[in-house]
Amino acid sequence: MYKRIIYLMFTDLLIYIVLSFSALNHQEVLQKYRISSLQLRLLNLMVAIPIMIIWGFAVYGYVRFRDYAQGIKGNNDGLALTAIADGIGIMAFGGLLVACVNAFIRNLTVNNDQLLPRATVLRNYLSMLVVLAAFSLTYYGTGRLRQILKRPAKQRAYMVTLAIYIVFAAGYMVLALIDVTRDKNEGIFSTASHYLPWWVVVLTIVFPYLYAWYAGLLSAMRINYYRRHVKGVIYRQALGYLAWGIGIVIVITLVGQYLGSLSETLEKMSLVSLLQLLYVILLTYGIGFYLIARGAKQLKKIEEV
Amino acid sequence: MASRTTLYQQVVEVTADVLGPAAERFVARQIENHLNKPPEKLTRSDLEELVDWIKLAISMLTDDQTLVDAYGKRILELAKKR
Repeated sequence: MYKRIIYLMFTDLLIYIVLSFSALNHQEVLQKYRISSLQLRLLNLMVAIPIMIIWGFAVYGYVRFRDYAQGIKGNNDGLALTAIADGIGIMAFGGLLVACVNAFIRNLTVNNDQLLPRATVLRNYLSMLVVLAAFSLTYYGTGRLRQILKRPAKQRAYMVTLAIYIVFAAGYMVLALIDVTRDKNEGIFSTASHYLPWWVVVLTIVFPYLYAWYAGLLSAMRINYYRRHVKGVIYRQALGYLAWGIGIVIVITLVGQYLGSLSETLEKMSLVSLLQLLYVILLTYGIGFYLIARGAKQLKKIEEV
Repeated sequence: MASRTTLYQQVVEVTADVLGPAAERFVARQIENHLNKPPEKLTRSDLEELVDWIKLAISMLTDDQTLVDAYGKRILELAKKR
């Protein structure tokens, strides 16, 4: 099964590389950053190659984690960890799928403006569904871990998580509701965000994102709580890497999603700043998945000795 | 009158302080693989041999010899309890 997963990953990555390098270029992009067509293609590669490497880490981390969780799936902690592993897997593969779809849409719509609204709607719903599915599974899995502890998290932990969530959610709601370009576009470069009525956007995209982010933040809190309070000195040490990795992946996914809603701000940034931001996000993502793989390997060793 | 926990369950309980949720799987595996008997059939006379195997396995998971020795000692003390 894991060979198929790895084969699928390499196929997706290859498709993404081909789409990125062969992308047709918007003239407005070339003019804004004052670069040639070839430079833009090379720039696409400078983005695509780190993404490839990080996704390699992501798949490796997911495969290791799932392998461990499947080995103990007949137990309560196994069931919980399998659900979390699947959520992490959806984040990894879903992210790659969305990137491929984005690259395909970019190519498709550069000379076909009439396709832009439908393509944008498809991309937005696909991104939302990936995040919703991923965080719903991690939320379910971490809920089961909480039952294993048989002790509820302290009120303070919930309050801190809730406070962070409220800040995130409020900011996102404001950005979503005042986004004047959500159903209009001004030229090819300044594209609209949604091409849907505001109430459809709120009900079918904003609200699911708000739930997904709530589930994601709570999952990160719960896994951290489990890590700190579960019995077993050696088990806790091994779990530490896994829990930190899961927490990092969840939080950086949330940050990436949030930044995606700041499209107008991002468009004003210089190329160098955009690349730096992207690399920081990718690097953090990669570290998260590396920790997941390392933690899973150590936990698996406990099941093998 | 509440039933007493079996010796196997007592060993699992002590092991849980070291291996947490993995304790039961670990102890069952050691008993089945090295003592060739079902875990529930563990007797006090088996404990000395079991401790040797358990300490060997735990030593592969940690460099903390103090932890390993303390854990082994706790398991052996179960042999003295009635």
